[in-house]
Amino acid sequence: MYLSLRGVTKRFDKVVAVDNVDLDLAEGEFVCFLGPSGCGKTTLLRLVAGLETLDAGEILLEEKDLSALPARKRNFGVVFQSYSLFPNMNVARNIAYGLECRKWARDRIVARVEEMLEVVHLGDAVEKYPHELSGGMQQRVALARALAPEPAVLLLDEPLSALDLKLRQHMRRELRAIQQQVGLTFIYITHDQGEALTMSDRVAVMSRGRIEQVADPRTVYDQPASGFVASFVGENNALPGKVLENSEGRLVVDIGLSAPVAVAAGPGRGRKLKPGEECHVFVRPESVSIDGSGQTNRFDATVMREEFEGQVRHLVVKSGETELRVTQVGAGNGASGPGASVTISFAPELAVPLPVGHLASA
Amino acid sequence: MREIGRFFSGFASRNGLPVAIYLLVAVSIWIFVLVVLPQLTMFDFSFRHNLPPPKIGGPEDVHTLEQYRYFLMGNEITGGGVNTLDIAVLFKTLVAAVFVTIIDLVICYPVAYLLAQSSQGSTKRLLVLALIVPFWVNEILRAFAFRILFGSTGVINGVGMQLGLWDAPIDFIGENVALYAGLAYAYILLMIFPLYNAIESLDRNQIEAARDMGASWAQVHRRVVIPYAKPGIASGSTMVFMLTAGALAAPQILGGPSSLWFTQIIYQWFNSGGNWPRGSAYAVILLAICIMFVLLVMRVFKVSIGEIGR
Repeated sequence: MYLSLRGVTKRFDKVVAVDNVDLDLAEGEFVCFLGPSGCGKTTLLRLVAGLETLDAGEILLEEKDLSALPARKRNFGVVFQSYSLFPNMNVARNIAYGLECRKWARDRIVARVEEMLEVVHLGDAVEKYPHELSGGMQQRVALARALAPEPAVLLLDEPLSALDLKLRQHMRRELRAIQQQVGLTFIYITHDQGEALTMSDRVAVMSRGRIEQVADPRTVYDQPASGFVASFVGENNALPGKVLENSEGRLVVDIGLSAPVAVAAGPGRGRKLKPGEECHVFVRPESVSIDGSGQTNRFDATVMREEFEGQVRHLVVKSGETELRVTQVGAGNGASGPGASVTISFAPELAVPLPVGHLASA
Repeated sequence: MREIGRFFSGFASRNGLPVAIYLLVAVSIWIFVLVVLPQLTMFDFSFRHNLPPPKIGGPEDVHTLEQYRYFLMGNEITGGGVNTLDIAVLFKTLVAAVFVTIIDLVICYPVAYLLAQSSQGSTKRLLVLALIVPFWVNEILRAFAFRILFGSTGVINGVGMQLGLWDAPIDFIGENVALYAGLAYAYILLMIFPLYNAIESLDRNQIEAARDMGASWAQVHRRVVIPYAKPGIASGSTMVFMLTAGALAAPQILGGPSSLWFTQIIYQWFNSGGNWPRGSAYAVILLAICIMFVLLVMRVFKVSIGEIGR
C-alpha cells in the first residue's frame, strides 16, 4: 500500500477527535473524507500532514513510518480552505515558495512554475498579487503552490467551500481532471456529499472520530454500512421497526404501517438481524413510488405537504402514524396537493435494513 | 476637509448631535491646545534671542537664527569653529536610540510571536498581565531599581562574583549597560503590542502552508511572518526610537559619569542655563532630525506612513 493509516488516534484533553482510524490508500487514488463538522476529519488531515502529533498509531508512506517526521520533511502538499496565500508575494513567487525552500535550481523553478500555471490555467496572472484575484483564482494558485514541489500526497481541506455554487461545481470537475492528469494521491476533506460522491474513487464517511464506511461512492449511497452513513449521505427515510422474520435473504419488519414490510437482506445489510430485534429500515425518497404501480410493500397514504423544486417534487406522505418523504422527478404521476390520497410502494431491494445505531442529525 | 465634514455629519446622525459636538470639541482641544499650540510656541521661541524679561517685547526682541547657528558653530566661549561637542552628543544619542530599538525588537519579536500564535485563552491573558503589571511601578523608581541592580555592589555583580564568573565588580553603569537595559525595558510594551497586533491577524494556515512546503523555522519567519508583521515592526520601532531619543529620566539616573544624552543638554539650557530660546532650538533640532531619520529608514525598508496606522 502507498499510504497507510494504522490505528491513528488523537485526543484533545478528554475528547477523542480521531479514534483508531485504519485506512490504506493506493497510489494515485482520490479519497474523500466525508463527515459533518466536528467529526474529526480535519484533525485527521492535520495528523497526516504532520501539523498535529499522533497520540497513538502510525502513518506509513510506502512502508516507512512518518509519525516522527515534522510537516516540512514529509513532502505532503496541503491546500487550505482559506487558501492561505502569502499576501506579500505575487502568484509566481507563491508557487515558487516551496521550491525555493527545497533549494531547487533557479531555471528548474522557473520551468516548474510555468508548468504549474499551465495545469491550473493561470498563465496570465503570474504577476498579480493574491488580493487582486477572485476566490476561484486564489484557489487555483493555492493548488498550484501545493502541487509544485511534487508532493507524495496532496491533502485538501474543504478547498471549495468558500466558492459559490456554480464555480464549485466547475472546480470539482477541474480538480478531478488535474488529479488524473498529475496522477497524484489526493486526500480530500469535505462535509459536502456532492463533492465526495462526484470526485472520489472512494469515500470514507466519518462520524465521532471513526470511519463508518469506506467504499466507492455508489456503494456508499446504495449499500450504507451503518445507520449514520444511511442518514448522512443523501436523503433517507429512517423507519424504526422490529424484525419479525429473517430467512433466505428476506426480512419481514414491522415498521408501524398497516402491514409488515418485506426487505431484501444480504451481506452488510441486516443479514444478522434476529427476529424480535429492533432495527432501522432506510428507504430513499426517490425509491418510493406514489402511483400505485409497485407490487410489494403497498400502502394507502395521504399527502401532507408538497414542495416544488423545478426538476423534482418533494412530498411528505402519511400512512397510519408513519411519515415518509417522497421525491418525484418532474411533474410525476399520481395525485398531488395536500390531502390527496395515494398508494405508496417500494421494492424490497431498495430498502436497507440496519441495526439500530446513531443517526446523522438533520 | 470635506471628508471630515462628511464623517462629522454621519457621526452626528448616528450618535446624536451632543455626542458629536463633544467629540469635535474634545479632539480639537486635544490637537490644537495640547499639541499644536505648545509646539508652535516652542518653535517661535527657538527663533528669538535670550533676553532678560524687561527687554521682551522691546526693540531687541526680533526673530533670529542665532540659536540654530550656535548649535552648528558655537560661539567665542566654545572656541569658535564647528560646535563638535553638541553635534557629537546628538549623533551619539541617535546611535544609542537605534541600538535600544534593535534590542527591543530582538527581545519583543519572539515574545509577541508566542503571545499571538502559540498561547491561547487564559494563558494569553496571564502573559499579557505579567507584561503590563510591572509597568505600574513608576519610571523613576524603576530607574533607581536598575541602578541598584547594576551597581558595583548590586545583585548582578554579587551573583556573578559569587559564581566566579568575574573577579572584580564590573562597572555596568559607567559602561552604560544599565542605561541601555533601563531604556530597553522602559519601552518594551510599545514594541510588543504593535508586533502582537500585526502577528495576531496572520492566518495560522499561512505558517502551516509554509511549513508544509518544506520551509524551515527561519524561512517561515523571514519570508512569511516578518513581511506580514512589517507595519507592526515599523510602528513599534518608530515609537521606541522616538521615545528613547527623547528620554530624560533614564539617562539622568542610569547614565554613566561620562554619558551625556542630547535631552540632558536641552534640559540644561531650559533649567540651569536659563536660556529657553536655545533649549527650544535644540528640542526642535532633535525632533526634526528624529523625524527625518525615521522617514529615511521607512524609505529604506519600503514602509509607507499609512501602513503604520494599521
